[in-house]
Amino acid sequence: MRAVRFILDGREAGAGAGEMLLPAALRAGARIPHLCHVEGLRPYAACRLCLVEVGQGERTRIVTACDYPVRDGVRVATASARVIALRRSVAALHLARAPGSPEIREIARSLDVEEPAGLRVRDPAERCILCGLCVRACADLVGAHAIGMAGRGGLKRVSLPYGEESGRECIGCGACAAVCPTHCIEIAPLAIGRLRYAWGQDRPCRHSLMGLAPGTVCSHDYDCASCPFDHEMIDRAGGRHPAFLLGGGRP
Amino acid sequence: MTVAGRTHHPVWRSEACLPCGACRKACPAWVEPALRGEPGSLRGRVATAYGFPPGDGPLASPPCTATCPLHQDVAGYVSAVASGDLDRARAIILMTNPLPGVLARLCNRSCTRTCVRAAIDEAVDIRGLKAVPFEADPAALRPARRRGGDEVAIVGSGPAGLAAAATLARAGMATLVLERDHEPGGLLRFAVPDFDLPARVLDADIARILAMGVALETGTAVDPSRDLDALRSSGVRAVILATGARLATRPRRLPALAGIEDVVAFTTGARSGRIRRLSGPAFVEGEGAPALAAARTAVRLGARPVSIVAPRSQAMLAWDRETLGRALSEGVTVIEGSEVVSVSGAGSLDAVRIAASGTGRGRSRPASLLVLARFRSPDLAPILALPGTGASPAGTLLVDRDSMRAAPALYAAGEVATGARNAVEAVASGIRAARAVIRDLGGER
Repeated sequence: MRAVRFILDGREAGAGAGEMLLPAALRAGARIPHLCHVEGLRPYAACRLCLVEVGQGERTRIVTACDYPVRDGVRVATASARVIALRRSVAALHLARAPGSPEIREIARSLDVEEPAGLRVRDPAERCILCGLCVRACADLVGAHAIGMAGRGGLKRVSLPYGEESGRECIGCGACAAVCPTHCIEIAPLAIGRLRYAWGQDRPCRHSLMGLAPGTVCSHDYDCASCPFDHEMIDRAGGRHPAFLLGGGRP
Repeated sequence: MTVAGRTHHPVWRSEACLPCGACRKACPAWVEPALRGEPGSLRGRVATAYGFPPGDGPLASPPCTATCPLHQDVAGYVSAVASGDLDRARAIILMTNPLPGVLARLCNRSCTRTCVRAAIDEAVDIRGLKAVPFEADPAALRPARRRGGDEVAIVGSGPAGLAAAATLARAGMATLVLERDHEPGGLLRFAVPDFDLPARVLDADIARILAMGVALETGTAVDPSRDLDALRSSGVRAVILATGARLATRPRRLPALAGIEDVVAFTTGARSGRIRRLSGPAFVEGEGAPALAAARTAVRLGARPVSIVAPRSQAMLAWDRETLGRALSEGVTVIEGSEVVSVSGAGSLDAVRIAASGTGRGRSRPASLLVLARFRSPDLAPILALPGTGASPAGTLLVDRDSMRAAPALYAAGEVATGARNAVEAVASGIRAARAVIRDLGGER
């Protein structure tokens, strides 16, 4: 498995062939802040917090660790002066974008960034950082393609098709909310009941619609937190959202 | 709802509507939401003009009925019981629920959870009221006539198999239930403890189904990979697999020691007399009804102290409060957010190491019994040999989620398809599979 060796902050570390730098470095004990990386979802390099310096001597460059495939013998610095300075600018940008998120404020504080230094704050209550994890989980994990990115620049947002309030494609599985790093998606039980009615089967359980256990029916009033079967599925998925059991893509 | 003005037309106040469905039941014109599409009739004009009755989504029926996997007419039978008309109550219940005695004790009652009465004083004990008319008279239906050979074979006589059989028999289909054990009932008979479900209650429910003309063969083990052709050549046109989920599976392998039991083997052993006496500390790793049943069984057999090790923090919130209360008063303790990480002993169990979930180290405690009730899976090996079948990522048999069809002329119901779940869901899936069989074999008769 450890097909590749590299130098992480002066110490030797290993990675699998084709593995990205971030998971390998985290496994080796490095502390690299990151928001848009979740094991099992394709890298996206949206949050830019995981940037590190790779290379040697004068010839170094800054890369995002989450989508940088580790090459044999590469030297990585996770906390050089250049990395820290850039990471602080990124944190200031996040703070301007999503000042309503306690997670963002915590990361900024840990980098000694107290204010979005001169940047315009559009919405002081905003929590979404547009990292795309929800969209990736919905499309790649569950295969539902119920949400996507709409708009550009300052108007970019996560949205249902055509900005509708409830989409035909959503199965109410909650994978989007489970992976959101700033906890800005909430699943309302009543809404789940309403939208799952669109799926033909009577009171389908989220595990049925995800394809994990087709044919299962809800007997808990869509209160998944109180359902022992749901607990078991989360347990089987190692504490993560059960959609990760699908291994990418609905059968 | 109030009546307003001189013309007395109904006014619906959406903010006050619960919606219990009483208005709809009382309406002599049967004003259903569908009638709004009936512009020619008086009923249709009333429905359109008043937008009445409110709502035509999931809450078009009262929440107790809407959230029930069987869509039982709760308001109907509760009011029949209240007025003392037990014959009518029995008839209403049996329309949608083929195992009322069993589910009156084991269902996880989404009805009570959503009861609109809770906003006024407290939720109605809907589940318990279902038992009342059947305590008075177990109500065996008149024996039905059986025609010719068996058209449908059901493998397994647990709640799913029995519910499917009852549904098929009512549609006039000759149905044969094949049971591996010497008595019908599956886990209901062998694993659910007697204090949760007395045998006489199960027997009454089964007798009622057999009286509908269902044939039962006990002591007949069916290996799907081998025996289905023989069934088909004897005239069976569809097979429903309701073989349940008996395998204990675990994320971490434990050494084989005497004193480590999986939950089904343990409760079955306690009922059959294989396990008669226990002593010393017992641990049950798992959640919900199976863990509580195993722990309460261990208490009754003499184990002290008895603890449930639940992997999730605040796990108890999800358990049936009544059963949990009984278990706690019997001396069972619950260790939340922990799991068993290792066991030790020479030949038989001496100690278990319990750690906070996901951390690993933990501390060792003396133990003479460990019951594994964390995961339960179906044994799919004999089924997956059949062409066209597959397994889901959750380790269950892949079926079409509407028809429960696993392969042509092969259906699945209950835990083999849905994983370990409540009996009410097994019954619901049995009914769904039976309805699909009826549809596929040529409609209602």
